[in-house]
Formats: sequence, structure tokens, C-alpha cells
Amino acid sequence: MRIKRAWNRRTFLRAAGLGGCAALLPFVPQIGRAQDARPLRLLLVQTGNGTILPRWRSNGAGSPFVSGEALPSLDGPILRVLDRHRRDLLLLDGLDIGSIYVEGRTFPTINSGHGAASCLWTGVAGGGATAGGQDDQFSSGPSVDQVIANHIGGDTPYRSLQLGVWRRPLDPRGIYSYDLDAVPLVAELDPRAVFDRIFAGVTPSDGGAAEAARRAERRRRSLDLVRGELGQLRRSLGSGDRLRFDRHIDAIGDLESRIMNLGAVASSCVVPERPRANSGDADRIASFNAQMEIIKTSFACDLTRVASFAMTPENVWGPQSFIEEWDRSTGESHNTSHATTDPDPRTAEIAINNVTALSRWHARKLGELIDMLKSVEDGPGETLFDNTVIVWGMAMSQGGYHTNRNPPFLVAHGKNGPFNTGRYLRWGEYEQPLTGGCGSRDGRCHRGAGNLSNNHLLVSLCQGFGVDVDTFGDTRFTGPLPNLV
Amino acid sequence: MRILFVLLLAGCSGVIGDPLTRDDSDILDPGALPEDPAEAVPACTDEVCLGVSGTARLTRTQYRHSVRQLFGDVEVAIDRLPPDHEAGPFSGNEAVLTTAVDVDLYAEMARSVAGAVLEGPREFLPCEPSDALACATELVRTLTPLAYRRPITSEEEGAYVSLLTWILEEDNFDVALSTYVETLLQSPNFLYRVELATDEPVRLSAYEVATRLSHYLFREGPDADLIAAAEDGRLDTAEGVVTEARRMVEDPRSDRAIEEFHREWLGVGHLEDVARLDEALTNDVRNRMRRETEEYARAVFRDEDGTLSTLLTGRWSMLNNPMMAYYGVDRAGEGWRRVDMPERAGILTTGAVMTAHGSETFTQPVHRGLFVRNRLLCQDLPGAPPGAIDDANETAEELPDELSERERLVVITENGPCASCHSLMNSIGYGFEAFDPIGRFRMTDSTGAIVDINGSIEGQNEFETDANGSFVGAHELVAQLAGSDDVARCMSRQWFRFATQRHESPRDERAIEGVFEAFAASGFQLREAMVAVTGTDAFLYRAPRIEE
Repeated sequence: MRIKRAWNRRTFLRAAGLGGCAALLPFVPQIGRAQDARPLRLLLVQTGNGTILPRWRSNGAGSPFVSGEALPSLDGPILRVLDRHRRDLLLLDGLDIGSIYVEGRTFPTINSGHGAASCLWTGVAGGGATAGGQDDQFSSGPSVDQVIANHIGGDTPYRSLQLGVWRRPLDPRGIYSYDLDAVPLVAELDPRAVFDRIFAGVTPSDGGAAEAARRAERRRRSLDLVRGELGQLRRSLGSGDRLRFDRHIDAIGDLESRIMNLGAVASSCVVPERPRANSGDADRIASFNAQMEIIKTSFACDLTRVASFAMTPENVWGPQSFIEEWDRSTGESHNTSHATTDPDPRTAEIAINNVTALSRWHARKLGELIDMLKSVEDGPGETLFDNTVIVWGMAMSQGGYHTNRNPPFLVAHGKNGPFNTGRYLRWGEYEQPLTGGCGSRDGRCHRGAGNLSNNHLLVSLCQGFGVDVDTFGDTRFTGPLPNLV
Repeated sequence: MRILFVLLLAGCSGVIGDPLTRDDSDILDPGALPEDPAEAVPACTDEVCLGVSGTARLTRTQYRHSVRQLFGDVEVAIDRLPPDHEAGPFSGNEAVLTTAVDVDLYAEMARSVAGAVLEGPREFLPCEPSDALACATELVRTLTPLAYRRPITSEEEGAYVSLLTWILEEDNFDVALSTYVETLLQSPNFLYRVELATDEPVRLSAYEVATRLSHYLFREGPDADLIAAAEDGRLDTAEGVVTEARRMVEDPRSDRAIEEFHREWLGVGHLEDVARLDEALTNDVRNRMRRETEEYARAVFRDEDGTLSTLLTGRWSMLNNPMMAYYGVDRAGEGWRRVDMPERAGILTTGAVMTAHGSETFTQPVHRGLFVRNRLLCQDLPGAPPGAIDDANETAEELPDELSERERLVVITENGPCASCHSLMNSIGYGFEAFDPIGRFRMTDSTGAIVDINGSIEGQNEFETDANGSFVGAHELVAQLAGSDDVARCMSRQWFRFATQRHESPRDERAIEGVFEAFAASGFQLREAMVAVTGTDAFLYRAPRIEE
């Protein structure tokens, strides 16, 4: 990845002005939360290559979903594995990745298909650099997790974590989070490396308190030297380099303050066993589980209050044979998502079942993560889940069609979350056939009257976390989602 | 099961040939995007012309080799460093931002190297630590300049000495050593290739040029010979720099550059991520395949005649016994060695290249043709217009089962608006049809049809080349490429990108043309392209990026 339009501090201001992220407006306190309450956390979960929308919407033999009504017992082929959590879920159906669509055109102009990954949490269609030989552009505005992290991070050691499991090229299809200066934040893929990094910064190793303090002081003085050299160089370099060095200096400062606050966090914090390194296909599930454990622990220990987890990024090419129901005849996940529209009905059927199984597997992992959060005490009589908002999103609704209309969203949170959960909400009349008949000569998959945009959800999230905005990203979309609260 | 050929293809274009006829799919003009403000800065004078660049951070391999240059054979797990960014097909961290996560990763890596150094033989120590402070001071004086790739100032030395003095008041020499290593490896003077330049294009200092040379050719900091050259004034002229580079490419350490260039240029660096249905492509095979491609390149430079033609056309490869078994070749011998393979057509047909540019089950002539356009002709094709893949899938629905892979591809991509762009890719890719998706020679495709290896290089206007013409099979295809000045120009450009670790700008065109002229004058000796880059303005000067 090469960021052609190099970073500078005005980028964010530009994004705020043009792209319309209004995160610079004054912040307001979160409504209805006691002063001594445990902090509310945010976890964004992304999956790539779409799902099978009709299957996601289907409730199997259960009662059909009715917009605005309480969720019935979940029995659909994808979401049934989340039934035990249904009172804590909000299913959001009818949100397009609106920023990439232009009035009067069926097809998006930039960042369509996989490229909309960069719009999912930013609400901005490109505007940044291109990379990896693709036309897709990085976002030119920040993502909602970073805006919220900036607001609620307080003095936690880490502003946010970006985790993943699958390696893919560093291009806009694999990056979901962008900091306040719209710098793409690359997900960390190796749980062992993440573990070493984040816990090394906050937990003392052996020796007594005096030795720990001495060790911290050594590191502080070492970093002081580094910081001094950065400052010296900064003065001798051109204006472009100076801005980049400023950022490095800031990051050294963050590391230094973490080292000096060592122990304050550690005392209330149960550090899990050091996970194994990401072994790729040899044990994909172990990497999923280890990253989930890291998210739980870092929330529980208040190491960070914001995380994102790319269960799969967009356009990932990877064998999914670790999923029991997976039929290998359609190949790995990207090929399979295309094969859902294969002309051969048998192939299409296998592919549709595979993608359904994959989405169900992701839903199952999400359910396990909710269980994990529900098992951790977080303040008197409350669990971590009570104080965590999870949002599962995807950039495309169906990989075979490459369409960014109506990808489904799922929000989950416990009793201190901002929304009124346990419901299904639908906007618009978008329908999608299971397979076939969705090409450009038949615009059905590419239009939906009355749909809203993911931008409204981003506004709702900001407001839920006390960030007082009325738009997020593309200013064509104003206000929060109706009926969430 | 049917085949989907249209995955991911960077296919049809609304730019070339027929404009798209869809009334609702007008495409934004990419030229309407705001211009890179950095490029608005004049960087050409009468004498000097080059594109702008920001300070570069070490790549992962430069980091590893530099650490081992300082401390000996310590383990450096480079996949735990921040990922490399890209300059064209190559890794290069020019003007990248060092984020909070990156800083943590460098800190952790520094700690882990320091731990390994304490356990190692410490041959780099200039003294016995019987007098701990004296030895620590001596260490600062000898090793820091090597890490910083220049003499250090007395302030810099003083900062280290006072840190280590404070440590030694209470702790032992090992603690001081470990803190020194940690600090050194987090220093910006180590992590960045520092070139002091404010806002005007400047001639680099001799030390800075020495660093560029050694980072380019040895992937580490300058050694004593190069430092001496810098101090003797031998790097003060372009001719002097080229002479040093010529000496360096004879040093086996430049194998690192040769191998890395070919690995990245040919896109075989991440074979472990390639998904294939055929289980014969084990992880061991993937690793050995990549090695085969690197060995082939190394052999062309070291053992063969070193020409572009041999790189592209050799009917042999470099194999060990497991790879012979994989390809079904049987020759006695040991180790990696040259093996005649009459069906092969140079480095492009090595197993790794054919595998990296295939797809899960099919050969993907589209990808292979795009690869040749992009990496050998330096042509960028526009991406598929919105909706094109849907269109292709609709077309595919109506096709009968009996068609061969190629016949299906023709129907799906070579009619209507797709044809203009796909003709640029598919017809080149057909030349490689005798190599299956995991790099083995084949006679039939997955449907059982005899492979059709007739193809052509075609294209007009900006896509016209002197390699144009029809061919039968890979041998004729690569012969056309090997005889092409446009390919040789592109090779010059690729070496320019690899050496400067940044994208070229229009201001670099003169320099790239100069590299090509030197390359041509040598009869297309590859090491001439490799060396000539070091005499260009882009290598000897820096024009800093300027931002508000």
C-alpha cells in the first residue's frame, strides 16, 4: 500500500468540511449514564464477500420478521445460532452503502463491490489514494470507531485495536478503520504478536515493584533519547516529513505513558494465556478464538474501549474447509461467493449453501463472543456485555452480484447500550433473488425504493456514544436511523 | 461444474474502443480527482530533474539484514514488523506514516532482538566489559555510526553515554547492553533512511548516497568499504557512484537484491496465500517454487550470460530433487542445479509465476495476460466498469456445457464492450495455456480439451508495442518479449522503482530513458540496468515532498 496523497493534519479538516464528518462539533456527555458507571465499549465486526440476503432475512419455520416488532424465536438458516441472544439483538435491514451511489445511476462510480469496505464505517466514498493495482480508493474521512474512540478513550492505554485473521494485500478492500486524519489502520493478524504488544505495554514481568519501576524508568529514558532524536531530525527535514515525524513523536509519547502507568491496569486485569501464533490454514479457528479472547480481555481490563474485528475482509481468497458444512467443490470463499450466480443450478445451489454456512459460522462466532462478554463481571451486578455495543456489518449483500445495496447489519448490546434491542427494523422495498437474474440488464439487485444508508447508522452510533453529530461522512444523509432508541 | 472465468478480472474498459452504451452507468472521470499537492512543487532545474519523495522507512528485509549486520546471526521474525507498503510491484516505505501500532511493533522487535543479542556470542563487542562504563562507551562509539550509517555527533554520543552511565550506576553491563540495543533499533536514525533535506531539491551527502547504494544492493547499511568510498570522495560524482555499484553487484550480498527484485516483480512473494483446489500444491512445494524462481534469476546473473533474453527465454530451470519429482523430471544429482526443460520458456514459465497468476482451478489467461501487460510492458489497464461482471455472468448462463475453457472465455469476454480491453489480455495469456494452475506442463485443460496455445500481442495507441504480433505458445511469446525495446524499457523502469523504492513521476522519465540507453548499449545485460539506476538524478538527489 502506498498512500499517494501523503498524510497531513489538514486531511481530517478537509474530510470534515467536504465529506461532512461533523466529529469536530462539541461533544456532549452520554445521556442517562451515571458518573461512576463502567465505560461503554464499541466492537465493530466485519465480514467480507457478502452473504445470502434472502437467507439472512428468512426465519425458517419461525414467525416471519415484522419491522418494528419484537424478534420472534430465531430459526433462519443463518441467524438461528443467535437465538439465545435475540433479546439483545437489533436486525437492521434496508441500509445501502449509500455514499457510493449517485442519484439517477444504477451503478456506483467508485469503490463499488469489494471496494466499499472503505465506506462501511466511514460513510465516505473514496477520495483517498489508490493501491494494489485496483481503482478502489482509500477513504478520505475517519471511521466511526475512531471518532468514538477519540471521544470515549479517556486515558486507556490503547485508543483502539484493529484485529483480523486473514492476510490480504493492503488495499482499500482490506482496510475498514481510518483514524481522525483518514490514515488507514491495518488490522493485526497474529494473536500472539497482538498479545505480546498490548500486554507488554501494561503488565510488569518478574521481579518486585522496585525492579518493575526501575525497568520502566530505563525504558522511559530510552524512549526519551529516541524522542529527542526525532525532534532533532524533525527540525532538519522538509515540511512534509515534519508532519510524519510529529506523528511518530506522538506515538512514542503514548508508549511512554503506557510504560509509566504500568501496574495501574495490571492489578485488576487477568491476563490470559499467551496465544499461539497465527498458523494460517493449519488452524484458522484457533486464531479466531485467540483474537476474540484478546478483545474480551482488553475490554475487561480497560486497555481499550474500542475494537474492530475483521472476521473476513473483503475479497479474501481463502479455503473455508475448517467449516464442517463446507462443500469443497466450489473452492475457496471468494470463488464460492461468485459461484452463487453460477449458470449451473447445482453449482449455484452448493455455493449458496456454502455462503449460508459461512455466514452462519460467523454468526455462531459472534454468539460465542457475546457469551464470553456475558461471562465477565464489569462493575457490580453487571457484565461486560451490558457495557458493550457490537455492530456486525458487511459492505456487500451478496458476493455473486457485487452489490452494495442492502447489506444487512446486526447490532447487539446489553442493558446499558443506547438502543432498544430485541427487534427487527426494515426500511425500503429492496428484494434480491437467490441466484441469477441480477445483472445490469435487470436492475432489480441494484435498486431499492425507500432504502436508507449506513451513514444514518453511523450517526446513531456516534450519538449513542455521546458524540453529537447529525451527519457522518457523506452529507447527503442526515440524521440518525429512525426508531432505534 | 461450470467455470467462472470472470472473477476479479480487471476487465473491460470504457476508455478504449467503444464507449459503454449503458445509459445509467456514466463513469466519473478519474482526472477530476484533486491533484497530489506534493506534485505541484517544481522539482526540475536546468541540471536536475526528479520526482518528489518523503523520508523512507526501512522495509522488512532491510531491517532484518541491517540488524544482522550489526549484531550477527540473530533471529529477526520480520512478519512481526509493520507491513511494507508498495512502490509499484515492490516493497517500499517512502513517506509512510509510523502509527502507534507500528511504534509498539518496533519496540517489541527491539526488545526481542536485545534478548537474542544477550544470549548470542556478542562478537560485535569491541571490548571486554571488565570496565563496564568504558566498554559501553566504546560500544556507543563504534556501533552507533554503523547503525546510523554516518558518523555520529558528540551530542548523539553524549545522549547514549549518559543513558548507559545512569543504568550502570545500579545495573550490570548486560542491562546496559540490552537497553542500548533496544534504543538503537528504535532510533529514527536507524528506522528511517534519513536524508537531510528541507524544501528544496538537494544533492545527497556522500554518506546518504552510500546508504542508498547499500540499502538497494545489499539490503543493509553501508559496510567499511562503502564508508571509505564516501569519505574518499569517490561517491561525489555520478560516475564514481556507478563504479561503486558495479563493484557491489559482483559481491554475493547483491544476490539479496536480485532475488528480492524478481520475487516482487513477478509477484511470487505470497504464494502461501494462493488458494488452489489441487492438494499437490503443498506448503513445501510453494516455498520451493519461489526458491526456483529466485534461483533461476540468480543463475542468469551469476552463471549464464546475464542478458534479458536469457532471463525470458531459457529452456531450463533450477530445481532440486523434490521439485523434479513435482514436475515429473528425472535427472541424477544433488542440490539446486540447472536442469534442461524443453517446454519451459524462461522465468515467466517457472512454476511459481504460473501459479501466482492463475486461479483456484483454472489457468486464467486474463490474469496472466494482465500480468504481462503490467509487469513486462509497464502498462496499466483500467479496472472493470461497474456491472461488467454481472453482464459476464449473465452471458455465462446461456453457454452449453461442451465448451472448452478457452471457448467459454471467448464468449464471455471477447464480445461487445468487453472485447476491446480483453483483447489486450486474453490473447497474451493464451501463450501460457500449456502450464496448469499450479505450474506444471499440461496438454489438456480441465474439460479435457487439447489446449490452444495460439495467441497474439495486440493493441493500439497507448497499448501498441514493438512486441506486437501473433505467436504459437510460450516459446514464441517470450521471444517476442525478449526482442522488444518496450519490454527492455519497462525492465529499466522496474529497476528504477526497485532502486528508488518509490513510484516514478513524469520528472523521472529522462532518468529512466537514460537507464534504458545504458541497458541497450550493453546488449541488454541486466546488471547494466541495475547499475545505471545509481547514476540518475533520482538516486543522487532528493526533492522533498512539501505539504502545508
